[in-house]
Amino acid sequence: MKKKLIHIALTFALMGPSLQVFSQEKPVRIDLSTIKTELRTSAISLGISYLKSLDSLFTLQDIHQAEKNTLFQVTPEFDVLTGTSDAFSSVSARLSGIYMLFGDTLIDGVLTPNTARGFQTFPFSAGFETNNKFNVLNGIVEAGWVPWYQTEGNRKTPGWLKHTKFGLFVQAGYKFGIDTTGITTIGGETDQSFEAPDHAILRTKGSFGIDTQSLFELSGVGVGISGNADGWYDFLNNRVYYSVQGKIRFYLTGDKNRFFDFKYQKGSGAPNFNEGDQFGMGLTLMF
Amino acid sequence: MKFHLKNFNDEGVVINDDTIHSTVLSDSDGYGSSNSKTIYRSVIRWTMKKNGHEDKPWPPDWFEKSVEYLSSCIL
Repeated sequence: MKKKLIHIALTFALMGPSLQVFSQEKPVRIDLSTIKTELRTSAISLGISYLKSLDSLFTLQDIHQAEKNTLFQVTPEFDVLTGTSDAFSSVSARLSGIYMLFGDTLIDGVLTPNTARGFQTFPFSAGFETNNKFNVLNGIVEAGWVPWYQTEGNRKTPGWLKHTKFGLFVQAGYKFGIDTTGITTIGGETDQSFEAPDHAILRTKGSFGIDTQSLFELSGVGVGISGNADGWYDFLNNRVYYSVQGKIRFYLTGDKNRFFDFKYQKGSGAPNFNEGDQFGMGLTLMF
Repeated sequence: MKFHLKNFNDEGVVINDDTIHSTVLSDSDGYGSSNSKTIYRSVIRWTMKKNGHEDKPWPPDWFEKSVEYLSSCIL
């Protein structure tokens, strides 16, 4: 326990300067990981996923459209995954939104979407993805289909299936040749994609994930497993890329907002599509 | 609100006026904007609009607060 507290204290000390940059009063998700990479170099990986509601980012709260059995909402999103040495890295900033198709129902005389039954969601986003050296910059538009079959009201859906997620996406954009940094990247930072600078990007992406939540308790700490697999097909270069990540997760509190991971990842995903692997541990706190 | 929270409740959390949203919802249980936190907010706003209520701004801290707190702010 003492070692754990020290580790947490150390990670807070390390992330302090970075947090100042993204200091906001809105929900912030922090993923801080000590990672051992394929080059056997110790690294610190700091990921910040920042989601800010339209209410606070825009003067007017609304980019929300309500129609019969459909809705449309747009939200800005900013994600950072960076690290020291050769750890995987990426940065993305985008405007993302969702279009939903659903049935409706009356609850106590109030018309509302029937989330007790499955419904269809179509997330979309437009923005940029880069690495933390800013020597790769992709402008990307993405649209996809994510069926929402996990609803608890779907009694015919097997319980294990409700812990999974699935999505199909199409990504199109442009890879800008902006590398004037003169920085030689190594290990997980290396751009191994076949997408050439100053050329168009056209990919399809399939994603599958499983998160068992807390399967059992160990000395009062919930233990679960989490895994994600993403595959891309690069139409313009006839290439396949992939990223697979597995985690053993220890929930430090019952509200899922604080957990500790041991994780393994093979393949970095976009934009570098680095084929290396990395493994390590991380603490995630959500405020 | 409780109807929708029950349908996103995959961990057996007791759903009542005191339920804290973050114990049930998550922004990482889907892909991109397709997650229970965003969907919940979207469907509640849809419900408000379609039933002739004002679509009031949500408090910044709603996710960490209870159903009763959010109700008092937007109803």
